[in-house]
Amino acid sequence: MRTRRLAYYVALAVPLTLLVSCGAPGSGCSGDYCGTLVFAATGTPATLLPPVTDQAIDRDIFDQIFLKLADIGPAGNTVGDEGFEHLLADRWSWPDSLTLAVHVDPRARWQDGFPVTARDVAFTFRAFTDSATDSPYRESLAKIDSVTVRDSSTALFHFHSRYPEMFYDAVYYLRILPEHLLGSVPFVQWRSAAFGRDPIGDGPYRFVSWTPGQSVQLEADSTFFLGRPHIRRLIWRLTSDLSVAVTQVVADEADAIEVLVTPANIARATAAPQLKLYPYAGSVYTIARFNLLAPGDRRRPHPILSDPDVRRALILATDRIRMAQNVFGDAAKVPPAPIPEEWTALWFPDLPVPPYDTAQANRLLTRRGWRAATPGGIRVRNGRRLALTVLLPSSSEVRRQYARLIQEELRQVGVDVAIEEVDLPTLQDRLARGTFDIAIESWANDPTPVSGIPEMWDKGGGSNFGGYSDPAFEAQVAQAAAARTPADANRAWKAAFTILAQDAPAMVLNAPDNIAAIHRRVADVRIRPDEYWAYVRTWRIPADQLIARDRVRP
Amino acid sequence: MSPAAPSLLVALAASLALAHAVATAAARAPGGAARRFVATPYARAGLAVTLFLTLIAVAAPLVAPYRPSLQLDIVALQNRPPGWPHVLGTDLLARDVWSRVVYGARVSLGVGTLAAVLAAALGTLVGVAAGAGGRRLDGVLMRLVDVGLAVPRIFLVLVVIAVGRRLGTVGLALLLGATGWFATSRLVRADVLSLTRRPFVDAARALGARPARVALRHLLPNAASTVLVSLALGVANTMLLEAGLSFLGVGVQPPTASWGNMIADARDQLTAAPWSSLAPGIALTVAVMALHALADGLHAALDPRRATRT
Amino acid sequence: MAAWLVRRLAATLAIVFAVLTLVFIAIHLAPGRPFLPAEGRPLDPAVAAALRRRFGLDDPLPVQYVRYVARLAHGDLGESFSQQRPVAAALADAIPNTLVLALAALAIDLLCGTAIGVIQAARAGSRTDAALGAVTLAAYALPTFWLGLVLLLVFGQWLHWFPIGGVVDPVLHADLPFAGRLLDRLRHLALPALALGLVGAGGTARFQRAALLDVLQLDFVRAARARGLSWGRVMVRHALRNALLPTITLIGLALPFLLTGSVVVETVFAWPGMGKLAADAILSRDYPVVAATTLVAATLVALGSLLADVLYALADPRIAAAGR
Repeated sequence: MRTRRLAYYVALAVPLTLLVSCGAPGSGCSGDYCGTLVFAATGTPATLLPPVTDQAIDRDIFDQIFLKLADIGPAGNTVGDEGFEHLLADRWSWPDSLTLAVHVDPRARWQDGFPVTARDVAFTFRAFTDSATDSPYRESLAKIDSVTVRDSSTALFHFHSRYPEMFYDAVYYLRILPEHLLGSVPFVQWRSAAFGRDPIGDGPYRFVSWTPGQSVQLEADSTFFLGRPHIRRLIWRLTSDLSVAVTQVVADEADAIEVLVTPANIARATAAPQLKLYPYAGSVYTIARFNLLAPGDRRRPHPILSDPDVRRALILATDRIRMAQNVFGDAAKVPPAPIPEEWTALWFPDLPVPPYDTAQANRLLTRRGWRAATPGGIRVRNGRRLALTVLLPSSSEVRRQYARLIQEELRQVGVDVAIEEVDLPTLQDRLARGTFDIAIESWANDPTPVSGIPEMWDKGGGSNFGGYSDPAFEAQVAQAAAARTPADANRAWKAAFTILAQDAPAMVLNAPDNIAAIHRRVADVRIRPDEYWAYVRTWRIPADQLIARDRVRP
Repeated sequence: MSPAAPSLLVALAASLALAHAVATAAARAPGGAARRFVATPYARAGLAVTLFLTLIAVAAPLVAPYRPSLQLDIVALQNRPPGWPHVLGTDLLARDVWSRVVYGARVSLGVGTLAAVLAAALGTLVGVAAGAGGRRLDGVLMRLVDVGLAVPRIFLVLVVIAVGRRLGTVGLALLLGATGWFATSRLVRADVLSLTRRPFVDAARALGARPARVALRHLLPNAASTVLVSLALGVANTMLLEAGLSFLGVGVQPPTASWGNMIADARDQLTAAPWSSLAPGIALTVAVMALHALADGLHAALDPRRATRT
Repeated sequence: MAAWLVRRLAATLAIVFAVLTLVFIAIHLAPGRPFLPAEGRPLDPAVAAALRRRFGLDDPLPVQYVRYVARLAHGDLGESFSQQRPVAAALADAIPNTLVLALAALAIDLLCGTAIGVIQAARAGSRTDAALGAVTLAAYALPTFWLGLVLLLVFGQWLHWFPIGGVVDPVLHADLPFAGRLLDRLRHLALPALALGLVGAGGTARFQRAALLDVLQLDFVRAARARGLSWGRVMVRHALRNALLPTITLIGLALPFLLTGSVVVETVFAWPGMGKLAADAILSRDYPVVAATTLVAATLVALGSLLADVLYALADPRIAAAGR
């Protein structure tokens, strides 16, 4: 009997010891070039091939694999060519006022050993601007006529005309691609190309693996010509929503998350002892855009929203400041115009922002002929009910909250609002076709307003889904884009935004702060508002702060 | 603001008393069905709770102090814990959780009942047709039922939702009903088959009664017990399925409150405001428990041959 | 026996084929353009037209149906719109995860449920029976996704006993020794399997209680007890053997429940299985994926019930002899 019991104990002890011992940290990596950084990411990457996607998650990853010629510096200057950081380009010059000559650093190499040449630059420009790839960046590159090759390491950018942000346009959008690997793939197939799931770049990190629905892994390239990255591995943990991602960071299963967004998440992150919070200028703003044209028929005006007084009334009826407080707590502001916090110079304090005034809203609606049959009922005019649908993506927790707040507030002034939550592809389709009444849109922005504002509000602008058109506004915007000095530009922007406020083509909802949460052990953290992880290759995890996942054997 | 607390207490007292009275009175009467019902564990409690929930769902405007979509002070009354005057607290949009639970009962029970009734009707129709309608019809219908049983119900619903346009709440209930009758039809068919072998049916037929008349007068009443139990279970299962669909975002659409989409809305507030997901979750669980207990009781009472002994 | 088996196989095949056709009809009733990028501007019409031609979406319906069946025979389930890769590849990644989850949940379900059912049957009518009856009733009534959320909150966020989601730890897993990898997988599997399994256990317990009650009231059991055999031996010798057939029935019934439950539970735990694939696909209108998962689910259920019937026939030869 005793021996049997002993046998049981031994039989149990052996597997238990094995299991327990597995957790003990082994020797693993030590020193300055270790470290694993785990990003908690929301979203599903579509492809890692730059021209065919502008999803934030894709961009976060491929920006570690591919390089631009140059990038804006920490000061964020986009005018002229001062203060830009040298990346693939080690020098540049202006042979004449419409031509930019960029010299590719001879040390730059693709991760398969081939050198990076000017032909790659010219090829990349063709890829980004060809209609077959249908790149979202095509419009931003419209002012560049062509890119030619002067010699194997010099590329020439030929511009249509002179303007302040020529250099920015040339370098900011193009992530240089390898012609020797992609030249044989027809542009029309790039969206589903195998290269997008297994890319080879020239950047500080090389692609290792992508487990769909779970993670993407990159490993540092120790031969990177601008300096070996300190952190050896980058892993993106893919989750489907923000709240789960925050939970992972708080539970120490991930190291970094780029925006916390809601007060609940900020509170959780603040309470987590291993996290440090990094606030930085927000690059996003959210609006509720009115469709001024008839849904589905862009030749006729919208039966309800083409009336500027009605639009102004709808804005007056919503308490945007308190809505922002409900959704964000203190972590967002209501901007005076559709602009993010990043564009600090444009936050003019004396722009005519409509207040919250339901009495005025009611008066306006009644004056325009919208009357309610019963007090508190829905307003009617000529047999048509004042009924509108708000369109938004089902993936955004914040916008869903806003939709419900707006719905209830507008009901108080006799407007019947229905909410339609759709998936992102359907949203894009509906916006493009103009089959919506009001759409809640969130836009992440470039460091400069020059390309974004015309796209959103100029007649014919690629993102002007509501059909807004005002020549006076467009004139002011053109003036701002061509202005030689910041003071001139700001004067023009202010005039433009004043016109926008009067025309009321959209309800401006919020411009949130961006607060990132990153594990305390990571040193030298710098975050750029427009591309959060632009400086990751300079971050370090000091040798004395390594934890279990950092020491993983290389 | 309506007198919530008094009406609630009245509803509670009323349904408890009613359930107890009915059950006990029937237990004393001869027949045994009611006695068996009362003897089944928790059947009386199930009946009482079901009645209670139905009462408050029907009388929702009287019981709930606020409109379910009314946003009170969106800054100061956001995510308030349970207390007075908001007995179950408030949610992210400063809406009273208790009011939403009450109106949610309306939606969840309503969708569940409508779907279950439709499913029961379809199941009975097909079951009777298959059982009494001859070999060929039986074969065709049962193959159809096999296909319907092979696809897990949620996938069937998802395919229709993916392909179709926006469904309203009623449309959702009808869709759920249209996908939930397969098992019932099998049971009814089994009942009908066993019944058609009885002499009284042959006698009726020999006397020239038309098949439909035979079905109505003789078959249906005997299959009724099966159908009733299926109905009770059907409401419970449909409520759970609707909750799951609303949780995924394709069920009942906001601002209409259903218990399922309340849990979905509150998912991100689990740490900040757990009451906004605990309340609908507990309500749903209690409702389903009550319906199952009721179904057990009905089964024991109406169909002693197949009921289990206690 | 063989004839019966052949007939059952043919019936199963017929069911799969019917589901296949239904699914095909459903995809082609789908509205809207299927080709849209995830974010950004919609596609150039010329590019969209080229893609339609490439996918053969402009051919007449019967032609498309035949092509569809032919492709299925080769294992080609189409291409996912949102993932830009073959659906078969996405399913190949997802199905094993769902099967692992389903098996673990089934194990918990059967073990806990049978144990509780047995205890209830043995102590029928007592307060233990009543108390356990309430517990199983509650467990069975719980919404699986809500139980999952609560488990995640309590054991994941508050107590940190289990990880928050996923199948393995993406950072450490590859570098752990075998035992460590096994433990990592088990830790990630625990909560989702519990969410599914405990709810199922409630139902199983009720079922087993009913099934065993009949057996335990039988005279031969009473006689055995009267002869002085302990409850334990009575259980093992007589009762459990008779619980075998109901258990096989239960396994057959459990599969639809597990597949249905997997859709919501996998979403809660970010478990990359077939259920989550379907849930994500429905939100992004990825029709090929929704259709494919439905087809696979139906096939699994049909195969599962065939397997259950075969096991049942093996366990009780009278069934096969009588034919169906």
